[in-house]
Amino acid sequence: MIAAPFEYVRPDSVDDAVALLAEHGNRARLLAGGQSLVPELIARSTEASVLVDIGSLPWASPSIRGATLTIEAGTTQADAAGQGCRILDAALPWVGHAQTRNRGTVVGSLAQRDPLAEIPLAFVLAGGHVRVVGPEGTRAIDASRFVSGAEVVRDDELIIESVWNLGGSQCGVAFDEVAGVGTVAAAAAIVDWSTMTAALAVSGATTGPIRVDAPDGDPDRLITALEAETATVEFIADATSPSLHRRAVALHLAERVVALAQQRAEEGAQ
Amino acid sequence: MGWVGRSPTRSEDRALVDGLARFAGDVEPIGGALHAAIVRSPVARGRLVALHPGGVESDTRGKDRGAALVTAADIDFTRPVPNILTDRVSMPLLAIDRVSYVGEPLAVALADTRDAAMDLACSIEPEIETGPACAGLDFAVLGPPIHDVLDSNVVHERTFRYTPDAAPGDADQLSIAHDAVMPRSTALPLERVDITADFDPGSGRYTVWANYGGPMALHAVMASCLGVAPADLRLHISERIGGNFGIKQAMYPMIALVAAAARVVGRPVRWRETRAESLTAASAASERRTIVTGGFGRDGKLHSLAVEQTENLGAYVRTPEPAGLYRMHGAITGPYDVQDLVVANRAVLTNQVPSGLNRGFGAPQLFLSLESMIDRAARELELDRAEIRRRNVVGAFPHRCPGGAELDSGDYVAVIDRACELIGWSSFDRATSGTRRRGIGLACSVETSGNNLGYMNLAADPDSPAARVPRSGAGAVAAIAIDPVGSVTVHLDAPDCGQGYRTIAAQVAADELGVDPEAIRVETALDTASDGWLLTSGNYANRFSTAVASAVAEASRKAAEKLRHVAAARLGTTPDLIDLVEGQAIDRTSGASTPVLRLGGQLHWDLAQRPTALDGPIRESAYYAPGHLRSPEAGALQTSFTYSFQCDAAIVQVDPATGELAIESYVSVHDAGTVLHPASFVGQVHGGLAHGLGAALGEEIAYDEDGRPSATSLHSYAPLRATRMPPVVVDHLESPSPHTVHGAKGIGDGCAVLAPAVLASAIGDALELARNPTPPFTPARVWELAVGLGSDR
Repeated sequence: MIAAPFEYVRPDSVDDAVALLAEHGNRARLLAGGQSLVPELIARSTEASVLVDIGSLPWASPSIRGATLTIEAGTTQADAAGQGCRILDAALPWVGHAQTRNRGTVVGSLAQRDPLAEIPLAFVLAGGHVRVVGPEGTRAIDASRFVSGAEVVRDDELIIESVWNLGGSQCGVAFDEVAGVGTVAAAAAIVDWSTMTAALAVSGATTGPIRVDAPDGDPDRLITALEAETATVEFIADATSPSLHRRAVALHLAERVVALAQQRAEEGAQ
Repeated sequence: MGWVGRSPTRSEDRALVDGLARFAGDVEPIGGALHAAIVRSPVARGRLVALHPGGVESDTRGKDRGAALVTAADIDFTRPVPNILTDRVSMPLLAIDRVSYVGEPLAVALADTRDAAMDLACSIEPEIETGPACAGLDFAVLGPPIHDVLDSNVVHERTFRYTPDAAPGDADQLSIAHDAVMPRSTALPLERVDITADFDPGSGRYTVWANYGGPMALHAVMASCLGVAPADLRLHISERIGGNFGIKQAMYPMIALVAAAARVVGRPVRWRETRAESLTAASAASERRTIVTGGFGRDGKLHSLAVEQTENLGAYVRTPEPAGLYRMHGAITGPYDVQDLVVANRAVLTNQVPSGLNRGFGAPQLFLSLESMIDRAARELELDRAEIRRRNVVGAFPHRCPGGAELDSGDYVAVIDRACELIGWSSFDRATSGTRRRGIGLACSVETSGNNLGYMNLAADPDSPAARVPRSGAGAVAAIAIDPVGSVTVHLDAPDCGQGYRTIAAQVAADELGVDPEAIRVETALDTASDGWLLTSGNYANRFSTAVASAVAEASRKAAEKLRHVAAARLGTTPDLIDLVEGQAIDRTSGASTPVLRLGGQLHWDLAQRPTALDGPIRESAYYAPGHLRSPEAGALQTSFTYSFQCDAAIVQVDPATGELAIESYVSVHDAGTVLHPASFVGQVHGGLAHGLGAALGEEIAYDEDGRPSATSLHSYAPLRATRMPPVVVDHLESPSPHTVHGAKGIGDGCAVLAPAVLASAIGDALELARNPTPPFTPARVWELAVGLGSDR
């Protein structure tokens, strides 16, 4: 197939991009790495009459500011790897393929909010925020409110950066996934001995990634907490997996990543 | 030592790796072509009311001088695809009044560019009154017919009994049955279909350029669709095809359609398939239910076999179907020595894309059930799974199977032993460190090579004339020529699809001429108007190493004989005293010599001096058709030249909590007779394994209840990734075939056939199931098996 005709515009600045979004409304789509949008356009499963290409705006490279890593909208997944956010590093090898990671962006994946995607799962676990710009200026949306959809990015706004919490020095992380034709489910855990905190997140639920924090910072209580949190949650049923299987995989992967993150935290502490 | 049996660097590979190799898409065979895009049915079944034009005219890309829409009414001079099962329903080139599967062609949109053609095609809105779809094999048997003119979806039903006196269910026999449905899957050639067609109104002839890989028997079918004599359809096959695997066979009605469109618009037309079309609208390996019942003695000896097959052909019987159901018929008993045989075949129509060739055509379905049944018998009889096979495989050759095949050579027990040794069968320990479950499995198969069309006699109505036409013909034709400067060119009747044909054909010719293979060019492009070809020509059915290589050897021998005559005249001796060695023709008695190829070149310049035995310069062709094939008689089908044997074994680990499956190791041991080029042999085994593992692990084309296919892009269809290819050990034992020049038997299908059965065996063992499971072995499916949820389908 080949994409339906569309207009292509390359704004000179973020303000320019915001103005274009205001002008074209929901007929416009933002293009960054294009690794999801372009195949959809080619298959004509998504239509856009205006593509606003923000990929070549003068974005900054990833940078550490205090205990956070800032990844701007132009940074590819490949370029975000190894920049200091361990949970993101653990998640990235599971994202697409090496070829798509060379073009696909971290912020682009967040913006899509695919409930089975790895980057939103890592983001909700790491914690942090996204910064969006719209006609009324900029605002920050907390990672968990963003990923859960409690607070959404409007059609006339764009995400300019994602800010990821880095975790302490004695932090162990783990990420694991089961995939068939598509992703079945994934799980990620952080056990941080420097702050005496532990958290776990799983994907597979219809509502998106689910995060739980260890009561009293005790990683051994994460699984019970997750079981309580997911007891009434519905898991996605699709051609890849029925809902029951997805739930079983998510809970099992949770055990695996908690054990592995604990082990790594211990190794880091030694 | 000759060149055959060695692995010289493949001459074709450099250009392939460098990206310089030319394919159909790299050339423009004729100027001024309009580009085509196909308007297809979005629904599986319904009444086609109208095709409404959309608003594409208002778009800049649609303002196209050549823009045109060719509909079924425009090509009323064409005929539907004939088939051997029924004349009540035939596949039309474009749907007429009714649509019967998602992706069925409705019209051809034409424009000056491919983009504009696609815009035009996408702008057409088909108005279809949707009807209830029949999207599965079981529904097809019981449900209402998908075509109104039929009484039933069952379009073929025949039973073959080979030992009518046998009493089934002997008192001391144990009857073991296995019922499995192999799902649909497809192949993913990197290069998709590319067809350019032209019609000459002055002569009434069509010329087509396409990356079509055969079988050439379908050339006459295309001509029939166009309503012309085959000689009036000149087909140029591209010099390279970027992957075939049988799937490209399905393009032939599209060749007729594109050619018909060219006639309608009075300009050449070019059509290039998209990946989505390749996945959903081209073809698929058939879905098949196979119930295999074995009667065993207490000693594990197989005394009788009953095979009941129900084949899902899709919406139409697209010739050569039902060949898939019959390709293994002669050897449906596999490698086993059992004479009491009943085969009951049934073919049904469903609202799915018509089925067709896919690597191993018709064999993976059989061996999944046959081998699972043997495993089950071993469990019931408390016999080792390898041992029960040793007790039952054929031991003496040639062996006549009840279905008609002649198993030509082999040492099957030695191959099984070798596979067991390599996998560590007898020392296997199922213990693992964690909660994972470890299992081991194996399976065996015979592999047919070089087929005739005898299946048509069995599939046709026994009272019809079609059942009585003799059809033993199979073989190959090759040509060799030496030009005026002594360059050698060999022509094959098998398109090059990446298997190394050029290198291997050059090795074969080099041995006969006593020259270096680098001195020989091999042509694989084929022009039906000027090159030699046969009904069976093409790239399929393992015919290269058996038939094609034999024909090259025979043609080269003719050339060599002429060269001996010329050399003898030059050196003053007799041809029988001339040896062709290392580029020289040598007089064995005097030791005098002369460069052999220069002799061939000089024949062009100085014919007056030629020996009387020669008619002219060297341009020889030879056919290879071994005399042992016969047209079917009394239901016995002798389809194939040779039968290879194979035993594969695997160790797997299953995580019962998630359904994750890891293949720890995979062993594949073959007896494909003489190996012509060992590196290519291993390549075929690896490629076949990737193909078979893909089908086993997740390459299912499923349909929902409305007949919509699950796989529409590579997001929803999961071929094997390189990272999932397990470590594989390949070995080979060599029992030369008496029916081919070199003793070679085929290897191309191999693991593509057996991998699903081997994994079923290993997973069944890991999870200690009573019966081997059925693919695809996705995490969800394996988990269901592990927790006892899954029905065995």
